[in-house]
Amino acid sequence: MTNNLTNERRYISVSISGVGGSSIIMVFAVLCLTVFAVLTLMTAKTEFDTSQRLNESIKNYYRADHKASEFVAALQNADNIIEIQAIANKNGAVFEAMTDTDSGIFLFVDYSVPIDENQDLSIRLEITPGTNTEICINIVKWISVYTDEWSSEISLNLLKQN
Amino acid sequence: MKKVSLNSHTGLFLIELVIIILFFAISAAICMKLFVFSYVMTEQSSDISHAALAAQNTAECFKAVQGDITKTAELLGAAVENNTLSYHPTDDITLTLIAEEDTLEKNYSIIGKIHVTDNHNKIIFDMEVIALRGIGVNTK
Repeated sequence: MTNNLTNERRYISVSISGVGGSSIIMVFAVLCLTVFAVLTLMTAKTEFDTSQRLNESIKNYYRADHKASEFVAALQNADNIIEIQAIANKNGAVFEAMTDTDSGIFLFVDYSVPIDENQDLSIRLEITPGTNTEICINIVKWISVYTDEWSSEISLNLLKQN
Repeated sequence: MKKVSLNSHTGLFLIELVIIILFFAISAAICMKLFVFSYVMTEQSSDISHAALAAQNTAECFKAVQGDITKTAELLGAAVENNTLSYHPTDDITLTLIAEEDTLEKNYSIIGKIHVTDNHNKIIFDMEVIALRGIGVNTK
């Protein structure tokens, strides 16, 4: 009776430590590998998306910058103020004339090019008649401005009020 | 009774071990493929980021010196040949800037075409920039 019991115990202990144990270890190892692989892939994908967004934002900015530079180059190629006004009107720019008692007449041209749906490249040029009938153009402003509506009242419902 | 039991379990254990090794090999191969794919993707995104920043840097230098490609090359430590500037911002990418005179009458602007290529000569970033000449900047 005692001998049979010992054999049974040995049989059970062999069964638990041998068959099945390695399967559990393998499942754990594969699970760990899979989790780490998926995490790495997700991180890489996020990095790739971020770099693509950076790429697009830089390209969008320089596309707008290119267009604004073309506009300024067109103004530089104009022969007189009337031609400048015509170019400005054609491109949808705002033409503004200001008089100064000391320096005479100043002309300002405001022009904006959309960079993306939320940003514009806004430029302001000062045009003054130079020597020998040349026209001097000074860049007063060349900045990207945020055009989307800004909402100041964003609150988080952290606590429920009765 | 004892001998039979141990032998059958050894056989079972061996079969299980073989199956486990096969399954683990397949799983490990798939996971390794994912790791390699992630590594390649990270390398690509790193190259794209570096390319975009190098192109932006070059464009601003080109504009600051009013389209003078020799001065741009001096600022960036690059080589110039036939109105074409080229340098390596990092070991893996090559940046090329080609300067072209504009077609307007008074020739007040220079167009710079920027291309960034990787080690396999594949274009990863390209853009155009215009440098204006004879223009003042009013800081008032």
